[in-house]
Amino acid sequence: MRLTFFILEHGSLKWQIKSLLTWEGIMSEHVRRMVACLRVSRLAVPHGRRTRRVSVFWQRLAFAATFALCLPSSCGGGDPPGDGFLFLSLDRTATRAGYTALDFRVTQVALFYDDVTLPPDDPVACRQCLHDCKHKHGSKQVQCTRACPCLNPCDTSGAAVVPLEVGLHVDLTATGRLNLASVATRPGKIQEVRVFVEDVSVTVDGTTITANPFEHPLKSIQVESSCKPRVDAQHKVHFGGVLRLVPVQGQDIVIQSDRQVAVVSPFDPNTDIKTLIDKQVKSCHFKGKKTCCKHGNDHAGYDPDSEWQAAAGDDQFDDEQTRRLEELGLLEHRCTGGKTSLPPHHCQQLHLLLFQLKSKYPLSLVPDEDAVLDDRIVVAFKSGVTRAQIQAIIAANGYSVIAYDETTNYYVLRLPTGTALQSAIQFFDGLSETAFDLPDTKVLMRQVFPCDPEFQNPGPLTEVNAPGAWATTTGSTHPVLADIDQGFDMNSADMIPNYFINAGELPAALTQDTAPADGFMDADFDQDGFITFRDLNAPGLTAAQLALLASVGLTQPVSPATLLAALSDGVDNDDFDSDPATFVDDLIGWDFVQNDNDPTGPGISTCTSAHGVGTSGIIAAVGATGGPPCASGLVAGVDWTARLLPIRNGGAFGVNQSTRSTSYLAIRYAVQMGSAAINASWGVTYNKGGGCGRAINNIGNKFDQLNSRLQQEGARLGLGNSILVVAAENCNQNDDSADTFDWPVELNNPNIVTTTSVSPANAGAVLAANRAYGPASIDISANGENHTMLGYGVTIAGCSGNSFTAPQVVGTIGLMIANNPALEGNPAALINRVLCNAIIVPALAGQVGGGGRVLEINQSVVNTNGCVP
Amino acid sequence: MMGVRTSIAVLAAIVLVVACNGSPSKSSCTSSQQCQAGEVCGGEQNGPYHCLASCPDGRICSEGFVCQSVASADCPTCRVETLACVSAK
Repeated sequence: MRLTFFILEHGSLKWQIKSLLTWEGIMSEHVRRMVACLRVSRLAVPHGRRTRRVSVFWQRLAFAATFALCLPSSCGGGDPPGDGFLFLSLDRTATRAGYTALDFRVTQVALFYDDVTLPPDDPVACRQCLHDCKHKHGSKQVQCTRACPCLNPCDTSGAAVVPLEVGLHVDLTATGRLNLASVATRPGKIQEVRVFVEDVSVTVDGTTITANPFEHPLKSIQVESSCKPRVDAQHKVHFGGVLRLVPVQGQDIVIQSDRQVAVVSPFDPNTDIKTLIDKQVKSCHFKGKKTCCKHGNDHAGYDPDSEWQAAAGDDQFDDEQTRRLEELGLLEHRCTGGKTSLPPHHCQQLHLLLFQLKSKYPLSLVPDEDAVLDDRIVVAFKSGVTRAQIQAIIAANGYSVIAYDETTNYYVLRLPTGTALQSAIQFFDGLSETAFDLPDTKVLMRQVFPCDPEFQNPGPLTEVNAPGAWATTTGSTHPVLADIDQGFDMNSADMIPNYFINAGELPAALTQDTAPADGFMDADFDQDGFITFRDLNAPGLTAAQLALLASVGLTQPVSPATLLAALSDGVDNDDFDSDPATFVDDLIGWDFVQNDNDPTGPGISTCTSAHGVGTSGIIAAVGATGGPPCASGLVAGVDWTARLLPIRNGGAFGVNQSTRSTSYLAIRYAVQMGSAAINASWGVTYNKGGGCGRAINNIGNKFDQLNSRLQQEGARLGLGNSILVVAAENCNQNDDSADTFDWPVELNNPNIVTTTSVSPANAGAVLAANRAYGPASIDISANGENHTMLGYGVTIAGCSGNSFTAPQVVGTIGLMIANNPALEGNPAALINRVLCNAIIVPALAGQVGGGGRVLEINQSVVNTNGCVP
Repeated sequence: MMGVRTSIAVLAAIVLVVACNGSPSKSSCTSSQQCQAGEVCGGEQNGPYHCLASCPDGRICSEGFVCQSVASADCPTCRVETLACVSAK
């Protein structure tokens, strides 16, 4: 695997590298798309109970896997009966290469039935044709591949394509299995199956490398350079340093360096690259694109003002790289490049499925032309210079005022047509009235993007500028954020670090402050004031700390399940409600439908059945940067470091179904556990007359009686210092209507924030279809459409509804408290900041309160002074 | 008489065709797991629930049915969108 990247700087202008690098795998000359396609060749549907083992056609694999395909018609005795399976296992060559496991995601299967003509597949003819073609046309391999009868494993022409979403893990002791029961689209023999996989990662000698060569999720790499040029006594210029490559999804790259240099280096995504480039202090005159940059043999002295220099040496650009560089215009620059020798580097060259990253898919170097605004200038005039004097100067010289602050004599002036910025600077420099002048520049967004592979970028959370907020804070363990929902995945790697632990139910050995007496509970190893799963699973605990955990029956890793098993003692130790018979051992939350201490959900991964898993993930799925591998699971929530209190209240219709009364009690429980915010992505709508299909309609005269009593119930619902964030109904209904009661949206309680869904959630926001509205009832909007949400160990794409808006507000409240702990316990201030820092979209004025509020997380978090009501 | 029988047979056939043409099966349910592939268990929030043809992305429903947001029996109070074909009435 080889990575090519460049560092440029031109004068004092920082260059911004946009879309720095698209990782694109080149598995073989046959694969041209952004998906890897495994091909199981020439399989007829086997008859009877048998499977056929075939080798994977995966050319130039560094290891091989073995498939066994058993289609539905041949697997009557399958498991379950009638199912067919695709088995995958690593074979022995992988072992020798050090591979121990393979993970990937199957995204679709293409079935070629026997009544279609298969795409060409003649390896011998293909090879011969390619050989002849290259001999004839040089290395225009792409053209040759198209012209030759070579198989494209990704060609689905004539195939029945079945979309899937299946993650597979294959290791040397187990076999990955893909259920094909639902794949077959019609009766008939299948002559070929092609499996499309993405998100490949391999485990090599115990280290998982998520070197995903595909478009998703790694779209760019952030390069931090500490390179400094150094000229030695022999007048050699040395460039070197540590280049830390951090995959960051979709983020623009800004690189600062003191000299322009291009680096070609082997790349191990898990290792810092240390590259020292010794350049001969010589230069060359441009003698043609390839001659200079590829070979760099013409040296005539070092030119520090050269446009750029190309590294050569052992890793010279090949023709394809050169072609791409030409496309980018890089080789159009006058090039002074010396022969460069790359010293031995410590990074191991990694052959991952023979994916090669090279400059066929190079960096797109784009100077940040927009960084400096060349149509304007900022001029601060000296105090005492009058407005009339300034206006006279401006008018006499053709400038116009864009904006100004009279108190400080600070003016933003538009340049006269045809005037260069540098000329304007010189002009104002020469005025006696000028205090100082300087160019105006755009302020680059400070954003942080998580590495989580299923994080949507762009997506709902980027629209509300969560990445901007993450540049300030990614959360803290201080706020308790409750989610009342249908059930949770208590085994989720995305969630375990952030699940709440009720210290009141923990044994005294963990909560006392004795060893040493330092003001923190003994098991609060990170001394943040709380015992969390982060404490219990912290790496590098001392023997004494591990012994402390062992003394109460805990050994790492500690999950919610093992915590419950070890510490449930049948006693309501905290007894916060003065009733020792209730909430016994509520160590991690509560299940109101089964009245026990395990809020685990039903384990079915659909948008509805894994509803609570999804909403809790939006609130507080752990996020991370860095890697690969990304250390934080599948997705990133708004608040990466919260204490999420899972409260189960709901099930399938008639099966542990939630009710309004259990919802009331669940809210009360969340309040009593000290929740800063409580998520309610559920509710019920009563309509006096007809309404949308999912509501309770036509209750006629009962409506008025119900309405008043519901408000009494709402008034009784003391929320204390907690904020209840409620998603409105998924109907095209006006919640302001007197004939509609959307509960709990319409409860009169100042601690309730209500949400509906827009798409997109920015200045162009439009209310999503089938979403409730009403400026008096709906406080704020966010994008609840097409979320890729957490399921049970997987993600579920395409989930929509107001359900996914409220969690964004809850997570925002968590970030706000993390950035300004003084806000905790002050719900009015928190709500005020969320609402007043929203984007106002006038087109939503008749649908969402405040003239059309759209959540803006970053402003809510960083604007610690709040707003004037 | 024969003509009447023929008409009845034709009418019955039409009814059968219409009934089987991708319309919801209308079988009662309490969970989508009880429904066939491509169906969801849905209805009004307080029930009753039936297996309804799913219409994600606003897929076209059979004649006489419209794609509409329904309460899913899998989580009746959840405010997640479940689109299913329901009678246009």
